[in-house]
Amino acid sequence: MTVCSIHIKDVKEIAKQSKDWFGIDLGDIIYVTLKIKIEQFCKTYKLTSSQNLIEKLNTIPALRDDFLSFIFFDEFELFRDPAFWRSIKESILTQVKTDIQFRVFFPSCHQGAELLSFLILREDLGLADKIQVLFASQHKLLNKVGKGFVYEERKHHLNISNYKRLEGEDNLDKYFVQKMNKLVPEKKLFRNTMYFDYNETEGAFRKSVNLIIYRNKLLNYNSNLQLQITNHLIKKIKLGGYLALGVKEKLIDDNNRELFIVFNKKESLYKKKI
Amino acid sequence: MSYKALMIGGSAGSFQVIVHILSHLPEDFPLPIFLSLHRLKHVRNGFVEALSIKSKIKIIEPHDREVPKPGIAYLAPANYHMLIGVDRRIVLSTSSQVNHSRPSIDLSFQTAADAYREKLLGVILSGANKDGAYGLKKVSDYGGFTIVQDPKDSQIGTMPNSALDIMKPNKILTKEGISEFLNQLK
Repeated sequence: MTVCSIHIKDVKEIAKQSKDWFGIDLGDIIYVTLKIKIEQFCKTYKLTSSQNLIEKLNTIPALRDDFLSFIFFDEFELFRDPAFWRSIKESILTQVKTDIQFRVFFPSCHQGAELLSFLILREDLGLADKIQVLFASQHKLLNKVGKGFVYEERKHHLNISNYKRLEGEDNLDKYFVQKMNKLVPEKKLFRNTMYFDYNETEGAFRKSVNLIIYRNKLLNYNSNLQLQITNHLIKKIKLGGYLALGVKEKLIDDNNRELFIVFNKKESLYKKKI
Repeated sequence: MSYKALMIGGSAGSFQVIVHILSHLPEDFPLPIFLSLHRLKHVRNGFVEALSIKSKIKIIEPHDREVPKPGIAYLAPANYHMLIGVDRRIVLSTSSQVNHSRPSIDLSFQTAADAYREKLLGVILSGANKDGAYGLKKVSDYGGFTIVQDPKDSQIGTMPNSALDIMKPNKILTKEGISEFLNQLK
């Protein structure tokens, strides 16, 4: 087994170089998470030291894409936490019938699992024309969604199980077209959606939205950036609108908590006070 | 006593052992306890309650960045890795599975070893794969105290044996032995 043990100075060096390689500061990622991801990357690519890694990243540009994907992308899972999606469906989307301006925003939408889950739910409810979906990525290198939105079939069973837990049926495949061993979502899912480049801390995005879904993103960042992101995003939510964080994330700042009521504690759903 | 934290890793066949250990530890156990246990990723409810039935120790599933406190057991939430940051806060992660597992025991041990070094007590229990072996070795490499459940006492010995293949723990104990040893730390 190739074991690459990375130390603090190595992580700092790689984070520093990342600005040159990608224009992205990996130093914003919480240290312990960044460290294990770098170690796992080294193990996968049989690299024995951080110097070995830096050397390869400097000389093999194609490896940089793989590295960046490894750092930012998790396993693709549709309808992660079916109870959360049930809550979104039953407690929030039901009000859309009387609110034609309903707008949902997915910042940091890199792989698109959450986005695609929502689009399928929206289609199931027949609300595609009434709910506008905005999604954004902070960097074109991270925008896998914009590159075609294609998934491996062999890992699809988990998506189907989650969907069955949510909707009680397992015909999720009606929303996909099979091409070789890949699955491509039906184009119809993407009507009334809009993509744009957006940085969660300073993006010039003027529209206010009814719901932001930003689950399991904050836990990747250091506390300073967590605060900057939440400060910025919550300004985009309309009064009476909702913020969805990961089920093990919560609003950390007292001032931000003041602005919200806890709508569903178990699913980390917050509602902005009117 | 110089230890600052206890981490226990387990998988198939470890539930009854954990229940046994927790039922024998006092309410005022002096260390935070991290439980990195393989579990069904889609079942979020019921595990804490099941472990709590006989436990005097309070058991919770932590939120991200929670500060661990003595006398509380922190169970890795379903479908999250439970890591320990350099500031010794609990850091959760949805990064890819390791050894087909999330939570991964290896990652919990590795990061706790980085954070606590020789102040960590690591225990590995029954399980059907090798997750945790490398992490426990790291605990040992840093000078932490390591215990492996006796494979003969384990319902499934793969995990303890995998650890024993690559490291020499401070102790190899039965579940009663582990409970007794930890209980004397009070």
